[in-house]
Amino acid sequence: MRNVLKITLAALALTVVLPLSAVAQESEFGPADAKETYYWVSNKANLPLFVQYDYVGMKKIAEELKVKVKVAGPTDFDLPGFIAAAEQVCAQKPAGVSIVGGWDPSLSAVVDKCMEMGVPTVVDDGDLPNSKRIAYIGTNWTNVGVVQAKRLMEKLPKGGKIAMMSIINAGNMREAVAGFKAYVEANGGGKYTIVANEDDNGDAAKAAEVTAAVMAAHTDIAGFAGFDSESGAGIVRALQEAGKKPGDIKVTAMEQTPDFFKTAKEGWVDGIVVQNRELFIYYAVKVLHDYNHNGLKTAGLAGSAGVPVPPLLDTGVLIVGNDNVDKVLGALGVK
Amino acid sequence: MNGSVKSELSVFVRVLRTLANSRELTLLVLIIILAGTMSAVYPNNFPTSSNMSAVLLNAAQNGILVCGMMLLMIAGAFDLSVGSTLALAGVWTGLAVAKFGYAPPVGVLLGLFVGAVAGLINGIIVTRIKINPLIATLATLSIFRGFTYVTGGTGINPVGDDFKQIGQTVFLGIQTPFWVMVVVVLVSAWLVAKTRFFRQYYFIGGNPKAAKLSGIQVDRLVLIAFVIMGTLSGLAGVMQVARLNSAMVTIGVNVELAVITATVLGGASLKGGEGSIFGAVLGVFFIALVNNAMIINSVGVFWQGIVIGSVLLLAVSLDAYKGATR
Repeated sequence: MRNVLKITLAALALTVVLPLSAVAQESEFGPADAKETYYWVSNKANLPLFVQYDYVGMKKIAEELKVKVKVAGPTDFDLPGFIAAAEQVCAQKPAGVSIVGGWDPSLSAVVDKCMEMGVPTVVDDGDLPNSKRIAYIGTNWTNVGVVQAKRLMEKLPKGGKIAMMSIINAGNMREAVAGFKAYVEANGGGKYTIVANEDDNGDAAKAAEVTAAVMAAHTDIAGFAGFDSESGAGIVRALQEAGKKPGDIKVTAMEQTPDFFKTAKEGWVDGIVVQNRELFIYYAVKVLHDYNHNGLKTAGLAGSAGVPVPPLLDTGVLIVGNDNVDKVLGALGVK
Repeated sequence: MNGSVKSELSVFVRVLRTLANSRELTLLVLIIILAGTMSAVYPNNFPTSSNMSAVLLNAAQNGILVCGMMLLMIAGAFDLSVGSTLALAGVWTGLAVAKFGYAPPVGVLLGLFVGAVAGLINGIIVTRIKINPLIATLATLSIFRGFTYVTGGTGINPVGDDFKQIGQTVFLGIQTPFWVMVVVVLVSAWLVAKTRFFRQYYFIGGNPKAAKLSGIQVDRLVLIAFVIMGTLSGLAGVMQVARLNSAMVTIGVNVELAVITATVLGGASLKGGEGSIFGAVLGVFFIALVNNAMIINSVGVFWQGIVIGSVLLLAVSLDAYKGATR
């Protein structure tokens, strides 16, 4: 028994220490002696997309303003856990909180609660317009849908069947899906049919499974639009597994990892929407910091009585296709 | 009631009783009915080679996992940490190959080793520290996932062109993960059904005290079952990472529920002592086919969960019928 325990502990120590020494994941940024602490709260707080891009802006603004910026929230899709984390963070009375509003409209209640507790609260990456949030900073998700619809329609001038894929319950995805549908219906001249609106649960393997089933259901499917970061990787994988060639079926998707841009170069994806995510938390904390310190007035009214910061900050999008993918791959150093 | 109606009723009851007594047979009949109906209604969509190979490929991960889960459930235990173990093994395989430059076979072995160690930890907690498997593996689900995030960062993408061959090589029209699952299923089914060593798990699940009194080393066998489960989780993780050529830290989230659903559907009882590997695998295929059929039938995405839950309830309620007619 002792031997078993010894072997286990040794193996565990070895396997833990090795990779730990290679990569360590930070969850707070800024100097140790910072006078103010700001929080960023989200579901799936360790989602690669967040870590890859959002955390960069978080680190930069923390160093620039000499404040602490901390990450909070569950690492999986757990709405009650998310709400509990946000409430607990606000109960600590930090200098400000940014909540990722795109996960669910019901998060409005927790935003209101934080504001009522006197904690300046903004929303990023998916707006909660019915909440008492000070500002929304991030992508206009309706525009994400419009941009993808435009690109797919350009690539399919004769029309055809199109399928959509997203995290179906996420509020920001719903906005994108609605934007996509509205644009296609208004501008498609009846040539396009949206045949499916499926859930991939933010998982590339699930996205591949669903894509394969949609292709079976609609053998003449002409295009796929994916709205979460894992949709595109799953769609491409399924096309490859089905023996399709690049361009056989048109695809638009959201950015995932730097390597995913190669799919645009290879012709598998016709448009990858880049959200400019590094700006989200950067500006979210900046807005909160300004709200706390700029002292600007609206008609003589300061703080929450006035509007000392802009209530909406659209961080814009960039669409990467075969026209600009070389520049992107070069800039990111992807070979 | 006239005689012919009576005899028709008795045939129906007999068929129902036969089905209730064999979960494998029930599932096989359901799969045949579902596949037959779908093929008749959608001859150009459902029974195509591309659709069938996609269904089989996508069932591979859970097909590997249910073999370990069924063994554990026969012994009266289960493992909620399989998704986290899968991710940890997959990500460390990715790290070994892409970051440290090890050859793909070394990465695969590391993945299996990580899975086995995770299983060993679960087994020690359950059998030596005597913590209930639900609590123990609920805790390690969180711990292993945490280690995956801490060590894996944003994940590894791509892992490598040589490495992806392990999961993307096509044989008879279907990729490697499916064939790996076939081997795992056949070996596990034979071991559990035919070998004396693995038959002991039925005694443990049926009555652990009696099993102990009859000389079976219950704790040792349960620990071995956890190690097997961990190793299979590692294998599933490695195959998934190779298939996608991407070791994302988020893979395998909530997979434990799908695996336990398929295992219960396949005949396992939460009390232990029942079930077979083939039953569990048929459970996986049945759920995969139902999911596929729903998308082909354009069933709204919000209805899909309701359908899967209802199917599970319906299949498991046959147990109650079986109990009532004994």
